[in-house]
Amino acid sequence: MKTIGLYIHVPFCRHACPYCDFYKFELRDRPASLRLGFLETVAAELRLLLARHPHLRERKLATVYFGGGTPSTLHPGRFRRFLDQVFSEFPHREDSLEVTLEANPENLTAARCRQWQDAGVNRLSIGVQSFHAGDLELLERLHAPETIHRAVENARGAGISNYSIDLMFALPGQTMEAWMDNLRQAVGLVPRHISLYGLTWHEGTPFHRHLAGGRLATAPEDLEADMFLGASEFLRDHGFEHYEVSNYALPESRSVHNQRYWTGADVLPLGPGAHGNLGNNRWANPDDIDAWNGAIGRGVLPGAPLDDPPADVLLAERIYTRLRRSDGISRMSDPDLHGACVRWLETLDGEERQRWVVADGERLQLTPEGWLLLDPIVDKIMTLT
Amino acid sequence: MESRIRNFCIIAHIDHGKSTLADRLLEMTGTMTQRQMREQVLDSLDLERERGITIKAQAVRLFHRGKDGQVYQLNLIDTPGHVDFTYEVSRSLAACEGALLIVDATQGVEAQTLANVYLALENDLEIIPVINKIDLPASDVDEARRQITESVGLDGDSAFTVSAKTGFGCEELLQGIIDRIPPPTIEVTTPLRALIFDAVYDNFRGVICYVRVRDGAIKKGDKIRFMRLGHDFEVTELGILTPAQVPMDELNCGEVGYVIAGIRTLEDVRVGDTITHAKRPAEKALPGYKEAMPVVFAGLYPVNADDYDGLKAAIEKLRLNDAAFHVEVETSDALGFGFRCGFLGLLHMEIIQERLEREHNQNLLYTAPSVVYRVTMTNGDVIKVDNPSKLPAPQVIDLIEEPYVDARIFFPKEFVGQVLSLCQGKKGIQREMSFISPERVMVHYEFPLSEILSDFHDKLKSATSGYASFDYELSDYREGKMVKMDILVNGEPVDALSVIVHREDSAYKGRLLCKKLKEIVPRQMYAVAIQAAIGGKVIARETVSALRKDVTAKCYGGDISRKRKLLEKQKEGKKRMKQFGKIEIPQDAFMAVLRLSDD
Repeated sequence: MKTIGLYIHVPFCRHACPYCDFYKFELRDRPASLRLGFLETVAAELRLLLARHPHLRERKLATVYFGGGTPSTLHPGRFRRFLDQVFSEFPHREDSLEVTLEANPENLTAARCRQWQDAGVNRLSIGVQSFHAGDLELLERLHAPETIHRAVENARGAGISNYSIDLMFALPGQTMEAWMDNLRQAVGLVPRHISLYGLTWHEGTPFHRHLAGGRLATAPEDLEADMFLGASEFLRDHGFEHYEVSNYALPESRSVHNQRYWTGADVLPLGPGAHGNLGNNRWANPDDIDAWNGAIGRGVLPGAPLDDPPADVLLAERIYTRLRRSDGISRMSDPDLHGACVRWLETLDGEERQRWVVADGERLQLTPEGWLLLDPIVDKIMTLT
Repeated sequence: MESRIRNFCIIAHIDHGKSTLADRLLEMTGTMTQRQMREQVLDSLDLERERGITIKAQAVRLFHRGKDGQVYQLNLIDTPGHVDFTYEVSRSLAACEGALLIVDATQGVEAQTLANVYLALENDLEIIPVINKIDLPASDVDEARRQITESVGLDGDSAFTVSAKTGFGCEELLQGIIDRIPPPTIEVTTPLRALIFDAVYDNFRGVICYVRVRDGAIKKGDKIRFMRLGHDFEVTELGILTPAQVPMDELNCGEVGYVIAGIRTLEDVRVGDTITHAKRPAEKALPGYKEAMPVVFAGLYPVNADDYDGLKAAIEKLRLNDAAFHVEVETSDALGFGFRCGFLGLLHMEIIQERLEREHNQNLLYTAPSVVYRVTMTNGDVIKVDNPSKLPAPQVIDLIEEPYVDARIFFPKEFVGQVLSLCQGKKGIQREMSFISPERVMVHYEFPLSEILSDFHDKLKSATSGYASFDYELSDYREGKMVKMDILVNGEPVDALSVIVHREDSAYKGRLLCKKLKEIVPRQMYAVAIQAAIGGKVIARETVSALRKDVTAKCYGGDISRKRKLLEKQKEGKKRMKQFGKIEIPQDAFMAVLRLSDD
């Protein structure tokens, strides 16, 4: 039976981080009613979607993921009702159904953790970013280093033992030592999963303006590369599998939902600014909560399909997402992708191959050093298709 | 009726108001109503409108009632004003008996004013000086008259004063055209001879020839012969240009119009050829044109080898009405199969490249332009080299000569210092310097053509805040101590990047070129060593270090949508990148040699 995943984009934040370019807005800027009625509207959107694609009800629900924004700004009391509505739409569910909530440490009080757990949330993705007060201040995060430890204790106390920790590296002024210390502290919290993101300077963000204005500087490229490779080595030494460019997991603890993105599995997008796909058809909801609310109020689906890309772009996209994973590309299951990669492989000399690729005849994977060059590697492969 | 025909053109320095005057004449003669007018109707190529210049000659027929109460047919043939298009100008002039010479009352005589006057005199045209822009507060009509008399050698007192913008004086000018420009000599009884002064290709109707009937007359249904190849066709349509094509039954002696004869083969038509009747052919073709001499050569290559045939077809279509555009097949080790193309100048080259890309949808790579060197071999043979990579080995070369130009530069006196030091830096030899007015200076210099090919015009403009005008013509070939400088990318010479330089500059230019290329070649997965070498000896080196990290951190729902768009964009961007083994070199790299300035 085919499976399905749900992504719910929650665009509310207490304070917008200056580096983030996802669709979001600060709570104080909009009426509270928007937040109170939000999950009800999401449930209505899901019903509209399923009315359009009735066959999807027969799918086996595998994952539900609340991302944002800051989903943990929504009151946990509303989650139970929402998840019950979701479950009633999908009679078939994986035994291992994964329900993830992205949460900021300052929102993870003991009481709230219990309520989320009770509603059905069984995985937390905690936005730690750094254990150092200076970094947190620069990133304009609302939590202090000690808040992180309490948050993790609360989650565990509520019975949520499956939690992931997000950290950021290549921050302005961050040293290799400070970065390695962050990793040691993270491992000390016994997470099953860790995500490490190099700071990206997205256009349109305050950070990008500071960069252009010379008030902030990017980390040296060599340092960023060393941080990436150092982290990979350190976490692998501590039993984590580096299973995707930015993701590490203990055995049997990979993010089920996120793997759907890298394997092209279907994900239904819900909420303003959410993106998803059914097969190769991708679509996106508007980055505008009023437009989104309005459409659903009128009984219309708010999403718009993305342009139909040419076949080679689709191929490149598949290669790009598959190669992000340590599982790489298999000749058996994706002969076209494998063939394109092999053509590239043939252009490499022995040393380059050893540095970037692990390949036998059946499977082709990138090494962490290869991952560092993933974007140009995919460009190269694309020129060979 | 024939005696009431006047064929004329307008010649002017760029921006002196030629197109505006043409528009006004069209409007005043009722050829176009105000409502039909768009600004500068005669500039019809997109590029012409964008750049505000005329590239291709155009023709249009006006009717005007003269003071004697008779209606006159005035055929206006528009001409380009830029130095590169002198050849186009001469084509138009050959179809006329007279020319209006426009001088901007606020600027006075400029470099191209002179160049165009010389051409008109060569073609034996009656020149009517016209002082334009007299409505502007800065205009100085008396000074303009003085300069026309003293610098150009025409009668400045007989000049018409007009404002093409407001229409002031244009009525008098129209009468002046009737009075002062001689009517064409009418030879109705002699066999047909019509000069093709332009041609365009129309996908539906085939080749459209723009002609001036010199002798006899041409009718619809006539069997005509193109005298160069002797091929015959039947006229399916002919007519006049208003400037839209208006079909007529015949074109008479002295008239200007278009002819369509179901011609599909581009080779059959050459601008400058003569059309005659198949049944009663003329004995001799009209003199036609001096072969245009391309002075700048560059390689044109399709980015994708598969597009070679498409590029070839596009080039053929462009050549049809641009005989000055020379083309030969060429191969490059680095770029594959392509074309060696000759142009009248840099602007001509840019225009052709842009037209190929825009109008014909080609993705091009082109190499840096080169002049034509004359190389005497040790065995006495003399060869011409227009592609640096084809320069023979130094041991078999006796001497190399390079083309020189005579250049005239007009500019306000306060820029004398800047202009002279710029000229000196370009190896200029000063021949003359004079004041054409109390405020304006004219200098006459000789330059190696290669020196003014690169950024000379831009530098001149910035040195004089845009107030200088500049014109040049080829003068002669002179011996130069030239060497070929090769560029090696990761140890492999890239023939398309080779340049010929003066030996004394080679060390310096080698360093600059490597530095420039380092800026242009993007960092990639491999370190890229860029070396300049002369005769196998490396004289400069730069390294583009290998990229260490280029990976998108997050790749979830919205990130994948974004990546998809990026991949599509990249595919477009790739069009301009050429693959050399593992290294990608962007188009800009081939032009780097043109921008070797110190700043």
